[in-house]
Amino acid sequence: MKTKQFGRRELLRAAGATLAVPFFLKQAFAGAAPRPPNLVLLMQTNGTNQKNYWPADGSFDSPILHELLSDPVLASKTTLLKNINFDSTGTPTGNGHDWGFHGLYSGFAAINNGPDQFGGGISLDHVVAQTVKLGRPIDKLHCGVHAVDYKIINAGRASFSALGAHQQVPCELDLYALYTKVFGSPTVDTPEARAAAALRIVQKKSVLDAVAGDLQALQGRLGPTERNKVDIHLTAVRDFENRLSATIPAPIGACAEVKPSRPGVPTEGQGNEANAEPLLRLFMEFIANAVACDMVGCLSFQFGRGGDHFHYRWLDIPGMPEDAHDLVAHLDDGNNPDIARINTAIKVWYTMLVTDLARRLDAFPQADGATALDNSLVVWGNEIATGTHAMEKMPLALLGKAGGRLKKTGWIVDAGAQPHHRLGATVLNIMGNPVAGFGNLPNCGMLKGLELNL
Amino acid sequence: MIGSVRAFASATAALFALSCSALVDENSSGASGTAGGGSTAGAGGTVPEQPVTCLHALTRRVRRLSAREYLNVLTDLLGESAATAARALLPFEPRLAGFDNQDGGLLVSAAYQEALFNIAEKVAGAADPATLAPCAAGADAAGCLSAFAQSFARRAYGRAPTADESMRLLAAGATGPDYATSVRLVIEAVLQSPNTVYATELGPVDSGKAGAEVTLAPHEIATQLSLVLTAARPDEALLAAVDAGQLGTPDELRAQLTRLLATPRAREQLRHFIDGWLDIGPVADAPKDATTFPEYTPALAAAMQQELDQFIDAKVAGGSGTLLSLLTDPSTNVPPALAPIYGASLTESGLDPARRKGILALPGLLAYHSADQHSGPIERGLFVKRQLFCQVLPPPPASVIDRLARMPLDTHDKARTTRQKYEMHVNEQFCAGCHDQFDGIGFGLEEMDALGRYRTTENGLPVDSSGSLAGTDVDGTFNGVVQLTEKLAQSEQIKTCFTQHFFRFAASRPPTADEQCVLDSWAKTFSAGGTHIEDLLLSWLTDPRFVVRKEDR
Repeated sequence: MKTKQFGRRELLRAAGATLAVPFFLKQAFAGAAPRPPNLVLLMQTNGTNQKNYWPADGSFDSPILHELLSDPVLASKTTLLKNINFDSTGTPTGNGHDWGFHGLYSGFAAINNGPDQFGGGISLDHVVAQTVKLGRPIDKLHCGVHAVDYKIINAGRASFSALGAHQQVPCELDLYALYTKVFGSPTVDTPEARAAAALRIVQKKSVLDAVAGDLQALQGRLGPTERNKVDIHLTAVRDFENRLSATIPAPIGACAEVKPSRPGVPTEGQGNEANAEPLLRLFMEFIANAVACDMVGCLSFQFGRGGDHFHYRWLDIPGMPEDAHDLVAHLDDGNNPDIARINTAIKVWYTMLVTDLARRLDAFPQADGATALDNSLVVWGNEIATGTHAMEKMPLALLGKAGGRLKKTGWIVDAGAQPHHRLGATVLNIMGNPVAGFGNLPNCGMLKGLELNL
Repeated sequence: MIGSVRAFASATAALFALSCSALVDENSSGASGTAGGGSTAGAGGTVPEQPVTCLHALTRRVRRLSAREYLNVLTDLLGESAATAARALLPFEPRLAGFDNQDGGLLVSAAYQEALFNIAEKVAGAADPATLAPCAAGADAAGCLSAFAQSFARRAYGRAPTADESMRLLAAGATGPDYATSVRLVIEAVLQSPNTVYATELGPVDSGKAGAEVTLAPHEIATQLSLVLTAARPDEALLAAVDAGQLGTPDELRAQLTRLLATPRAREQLRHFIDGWLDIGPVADAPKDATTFPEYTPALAAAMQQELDQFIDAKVAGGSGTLLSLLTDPSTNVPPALAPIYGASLTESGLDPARRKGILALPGLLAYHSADQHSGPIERGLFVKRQLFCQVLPPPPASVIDRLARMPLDTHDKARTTRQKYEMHVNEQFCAGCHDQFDGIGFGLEEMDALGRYRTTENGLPVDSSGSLAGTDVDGTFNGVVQLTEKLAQSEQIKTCFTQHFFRFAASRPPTADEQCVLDSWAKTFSAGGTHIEDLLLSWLTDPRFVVRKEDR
């Protein structure tokens, strides 16, 4: 990987005045570059404006992606995946929001109807965590921001992360708790503190052993269906126990000092539209910190609930309706300039968030001279393709170079129409799991046209 | 509290019989198809003459407690402050079909396990071992710890721990360098144990052959009773009763039922059921456009919530209340902050029953089931059809998007009323095919705006509140919420639908297709008895599904 030196001025320019990378963080990246790459899965909702998303022929810029692609460094590390169509094999239930929200990163069809509708299979984040030796203190995290979608009919859209059919995993919303989880509380590194930490581990392991013992006893009394529930529970206990042992004796150095740049933003799950804007910004910062500090192997994030109903009041877009969902996710067929303008303005804002994340990652030099962005694979997806619930030409982009496993970046991959399952298969191969397919298309192969170095 | 002692005696006799004899016989498959067993009419507490046994029992299961149930257990063990500390650490989980206890949505994922660990560590750290597990100076500390582990786990598990479970708890405690730390470690282990986190529906340990029907263990029955009535583990009185074998006779069970229904927990639990039936979350969660409704402040939303909660509590009346009183009773305790909302409807003698009656006329419900900028006739119509009639309405077809793109609705249009804007649904045949099923209901509520205020004009134009019901057993026209309420009160479908919601709430799962016969029977009893909510409770407690499961190993 080519060495890239960052001067202070360049760092500040990249990160923005308020995004300056703390010196101690840079110090933290003196170790070996992470392998396999850090994986970040981003799920945006409500589609995009197709015309303003895709660069025109011969260009690598567009109105919606301009913030990202106008930066030559970031553009050179971005890959747009064109002509990926959502494949509804398995006949998903619900509408496009459910199909894409549950299916884009799982390859399985949404199941059931009404309040019981959920994803139909294990999602990519869990497949990666279960099949790839990620070697980070925390294998995976799923987090996000919810907003004002308060009706119960969409309970399944609260999280796209699933351990299996109808086995939704909660979307963690508390940004500050996530910082504590990932970076721990500040500690004083003294012999006494280390001894106390070691004793704590012994005690907590004894507690978790008792819990595991109870779970094993329960397992033996169950039939196969119910046993699966307890298996998941037991795995969670064992994973947590391993993490407890792995992280506490080995101080995580300067990264332990990472903290959110703004405290006190309420993170409650429902009706927090007023806090959505600062929370989303803070989450970009968190993802960058977690990935750059090499603390989380696979981090999945949702910008909202499936088919979210953000109002985007902070954008103050002229003509914006109170609930943007119906306008941008239902009506933008590309023919109404007013609707396209509003939809584009919203999507530009999301690009700014993702660009912020990319800039932060690219501002962190790592041991091999590459940046955290170079050593990461950020998948930026969307549950639907356009504002008419269409599912063709899903807006998809890869950011970063996946530790060199993405051989060519800075271009548009367009090898004709391809099923979205190939995205999952490709990500798994990049991460080191040589699968032939993904979800309910076990032999779909990888994305064609992409140049990989596996 | 309970209207009919005779009815309880009959019901509990049936439960007693079920739990003790017939249904543990593996040869009694229960597939005999005796759906809709007869009922005994009576004012409240009417019960089936015999249990409905129209299908096999469902398989044994373990159900994770909901966050609310777990926090109630925590409160009982360590006090309200512990639950308060824990509440913020639990990950958000959506309700399913209005209820938080649905088996299909409850899993111990990595995030949930971590939350349990953090909660256990935090509340155990805050606990006072000297108070919880006093051990006199010079006393046998190991004996003290063992006694504490036994009693603490018993409350958490809803049964005494087994010898193996006790040993594991003590092994965890043994790593503590002192007695206080050992007590805290035991607390941590108990709070994370699956015996606390799950409610088991497994029957005795060696329950039988595959496919056989098994009756739940007595402590499991007590936990099921406690969870459905109070969303918590059995309290000390119930535990003591089941430990002493005093939950077997009708009188003993009746006493527990009556006692639990009188508790504040039961009041909250029944309110949770009604909230789920009505698809209501916190009123404050319902978004309102601040420009259109600047008066919709947090204080106003809180007042709406207060009135709604008090109305439900009063009409449900610990189970002795009726669905009909919920639908039609005009009496409500109006908080002062709602006086501007009620306006002329509020007189010194209460609400004008010609203008408002029943829960559908409360501002909290009307505000929740409306749009953020207007009254939301479509939302309200869908609410009535989906929640009150249990009708499944398909989502809009894809082709509707093209039409909407060509005919966008301008919600800022001040030249028309909300109804006029949406009447294109009726006038366009393409839209009317579906919207005829529910728009008429919402139109009939147009006299109530998005904050539940009565109105006769909108945008300076007269409001038309003529509505219609279609596709129901009470089809016809009406005008305004009072007339709608009176029609709904005549509907048998409403009662059947209410029964379906109750089944889901009580069983913590949706009914299977085969269980329609059960629902029909319950609804028949419920309706014949005057829609007393206690009748539904009794239907559940006397149903084989309450205590019988099928062996799945």
